[in-house]
Amino acid sequence: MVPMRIIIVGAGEVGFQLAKVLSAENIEVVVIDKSKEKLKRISEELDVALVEGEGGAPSVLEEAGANQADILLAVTNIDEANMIACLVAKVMFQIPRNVARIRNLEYFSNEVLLNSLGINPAISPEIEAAKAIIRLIEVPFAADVDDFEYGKIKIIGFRIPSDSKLIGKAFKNLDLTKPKVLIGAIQRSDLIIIPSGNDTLKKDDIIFVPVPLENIDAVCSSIGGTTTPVKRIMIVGGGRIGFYVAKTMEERNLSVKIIEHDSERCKFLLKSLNKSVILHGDGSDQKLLEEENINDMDVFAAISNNEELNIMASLLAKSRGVKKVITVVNKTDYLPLANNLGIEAVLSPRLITADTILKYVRSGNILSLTTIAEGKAEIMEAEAKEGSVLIGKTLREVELPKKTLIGAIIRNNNVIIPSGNDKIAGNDKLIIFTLKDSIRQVEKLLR
Amino acid sequence: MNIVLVFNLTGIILLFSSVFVLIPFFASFFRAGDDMSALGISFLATFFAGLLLYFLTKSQEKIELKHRDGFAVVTISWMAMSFFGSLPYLLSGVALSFTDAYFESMAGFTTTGASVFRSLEEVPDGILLWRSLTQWMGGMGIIVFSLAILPLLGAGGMQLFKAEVPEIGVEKLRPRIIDMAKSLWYIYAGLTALLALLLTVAGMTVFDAACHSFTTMATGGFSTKSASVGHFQNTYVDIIITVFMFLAGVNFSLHFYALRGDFSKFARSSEFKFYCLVILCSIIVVTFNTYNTEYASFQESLRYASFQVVSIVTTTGFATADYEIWPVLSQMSILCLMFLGGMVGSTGGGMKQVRILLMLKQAYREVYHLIHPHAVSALKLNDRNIPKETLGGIWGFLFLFVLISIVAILIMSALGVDMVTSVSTVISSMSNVGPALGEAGPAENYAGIPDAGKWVLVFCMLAGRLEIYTVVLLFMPIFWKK
Repeated sequence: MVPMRIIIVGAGEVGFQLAKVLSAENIEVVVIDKSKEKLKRISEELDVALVEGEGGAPSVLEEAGANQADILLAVTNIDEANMIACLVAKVMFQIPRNVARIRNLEYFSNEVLLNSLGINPAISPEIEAAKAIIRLIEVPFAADVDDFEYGKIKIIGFRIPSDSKLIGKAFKNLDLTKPKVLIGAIQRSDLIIIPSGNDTLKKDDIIFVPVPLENIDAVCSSIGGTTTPVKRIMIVGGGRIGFYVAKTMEERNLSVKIIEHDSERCKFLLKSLNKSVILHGDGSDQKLLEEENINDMDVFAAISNNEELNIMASLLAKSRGVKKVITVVNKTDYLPLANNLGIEAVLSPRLITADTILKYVRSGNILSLTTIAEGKAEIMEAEAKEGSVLIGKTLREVELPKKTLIGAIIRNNNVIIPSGNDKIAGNDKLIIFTLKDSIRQVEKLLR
Repeated sequence: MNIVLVFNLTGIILLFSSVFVLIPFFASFFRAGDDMSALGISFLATFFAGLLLYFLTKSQEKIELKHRDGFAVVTISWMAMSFFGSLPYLLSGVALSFTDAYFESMAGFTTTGASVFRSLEEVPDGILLWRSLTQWMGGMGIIVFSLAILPLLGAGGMQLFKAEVPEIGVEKLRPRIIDMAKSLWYIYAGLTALLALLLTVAGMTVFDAACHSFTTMATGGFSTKSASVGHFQNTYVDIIITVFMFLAGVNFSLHFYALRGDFSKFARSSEFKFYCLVILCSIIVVTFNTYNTEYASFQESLRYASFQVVSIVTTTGFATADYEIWPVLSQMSILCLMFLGGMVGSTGGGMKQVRILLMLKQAYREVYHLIHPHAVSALKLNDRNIPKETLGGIWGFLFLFVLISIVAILIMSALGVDMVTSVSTVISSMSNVGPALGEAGPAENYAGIPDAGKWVLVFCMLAGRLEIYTVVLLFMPIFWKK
């Protein structure tokens, strides 16, 4: 079998993340960037081919083997460069799938333009981040929410509250049957654990649980959190992400307050939003926050471009007793740190962008794949084809690679949270939790 | 540094390599050779040593191989392989001491081809085959070989590959290291098979043909006869081997593109052109120098000159003529050629043509700048600018090469070896050529070198094969600092 070849234009944070995940699979990855230093960093860590040059230049693309490429991912931080790269890839090399990272909403929402450039799909980091934030707001006390099967099943990361009744008990003694809950992975500060019956939970662990859409509230209450719906939300940072979140929340009749330090931007927000309260000020200004009744907020989202400010503001909100605090951090290096500070949900638009793009490059059995805990573990949705060794076996009999767990089975559009006696049938879709590097082994099992 | 992981990988590589001892074992088994038990025991020893090392150091967690671990794995694996590779010589009694056996084994894996055996005609066939095989394994590199066949080494394979193959001028043929290693080995194995076929057709026995094709493609130079290729006195054999030595000294990525039908890379590679030029000039000099002085006919002198020049410049080290009786100009040419070596990315040793070429270009640039002080200039190779750091790396390489050689030569002289012999054996070992001048000339061997001197040469061979840095690193205190 000829391995798939993917060309990544742009060796920044997004490009690096994509190259890292893809090169661990049976895929030939070629990364193009103008900057020698960025390429050098990649060459030291990843087994991929590198080409130095402008990603939109035909000669550079040819050198990168665009003639045999299956997918082009244009993820530089310049929209125009990404668009040109996709256009050249489409017109000169007939690459079937070109994904571009597009930030400018005017480009992003113009389908005619995108189609004629051969971009399918365009990914906007800000919109993806906003969507992720909205998903988080929808589920009470979730630290992470990912959709699978068009939102029919969500993988929710819950941060265990200090008063949870689950703390300290071994899993096999826990009664998690009404509704049935299966813990797929535990993130404990830097560690990720794929649990067995003897593991116990600690305060501030994040557990990743597959939840069918209709059971969300029930699962939340059984884990021990509040399920009161969100009414009031305060947003720090009225940038693109903040604006998009506020607009969506407004449409859902939530009360929104936005704090933005740039007065010009405030004017824009005033013009574009109807009911939201626009505050001109600094998100870490304690007095301002108190004036605006921070302790009555259900959700506090620090999503400005300044990540240090975001972290400080979040800590402040946390200390004022806000139940749910969401923080946006751009530098991937800050993620583990911020996670340890006790903030409910920390997310990085770049990682989210990379994850979203990865959903479009799947081939074969693995339909969808999401990384959690900065890529230390993966959740995938995979199809068990007829003839796979898994079929007809109960989960207890199935020999999975080490540190791998089947968290849910989707059969004929129904979600089943399995126990050891459930059998796998042909064409089942499986939600699999695994540590990284096991994708290939899992793929082998499914074939 | 992660010692546990380093030994774990070394264990895997030993396990893998042990399988190759079975080839001469079965060859010996079917011929009922008296070296059968020696080879059998060597296989078991290598296999179980590898197994033990692997399981003792096996860890539950997956640890990532770091840059510097890669260097340690490569150097330690090569030393370990040479140790286990020496067992057949020691156990069969062919080698008189452990020093001799280790020297022979290291000369095999590093494709040096220096031998301490006085008469190869007395050495059993199984051992001869093993000698040739060690060169074949070492030719493209034990690590590259393991990578091509074992997926076990995983992503860490990249770090190992980098430690074994110098980055300079080597382009990544395929995006993934494993695919690239595979491509290289297909080409390598294919050319070896073709050569074996041609040599059999030309009149060699299948056994001799196989052994010689292993050592030709590896630019190793072990023969099955004391008189080397000269033993066969066969013009066709000479010509075929000359051509294949030349091919083995060419960057394998050029072969890779040629196989895909793209021959333009040959024309565009400045290193290839330089390589051809060096060989052509040397052949002309040696031919005219030996014509009428050594050989009566022009044809004869052309035949011996071309064979010897290609054999030395590619660092193979086969001999059809005793160049020690040639005029001094020819002898000096041979000595100079030892430095050069093959192209980068070939199986040849030495300093590599591209380094010499780049240094020449740099020297020209310096002169150019003296004449045009304000000129902007760049160092170019195959239409690409070469960054300053690469050049710095080459100067550092050259300096270390010379420094190690000088120290080694001084030690050799202190041990009582005469001047010509000590200088030429050290250079020959550093460049992985094999035959030297003086006491260790093409018609003689290294048996007369004192034991301590052999160990010095063993170090030179390893340092030369792994292109200095990888080996020298291990002896630097900063390498071991946490």
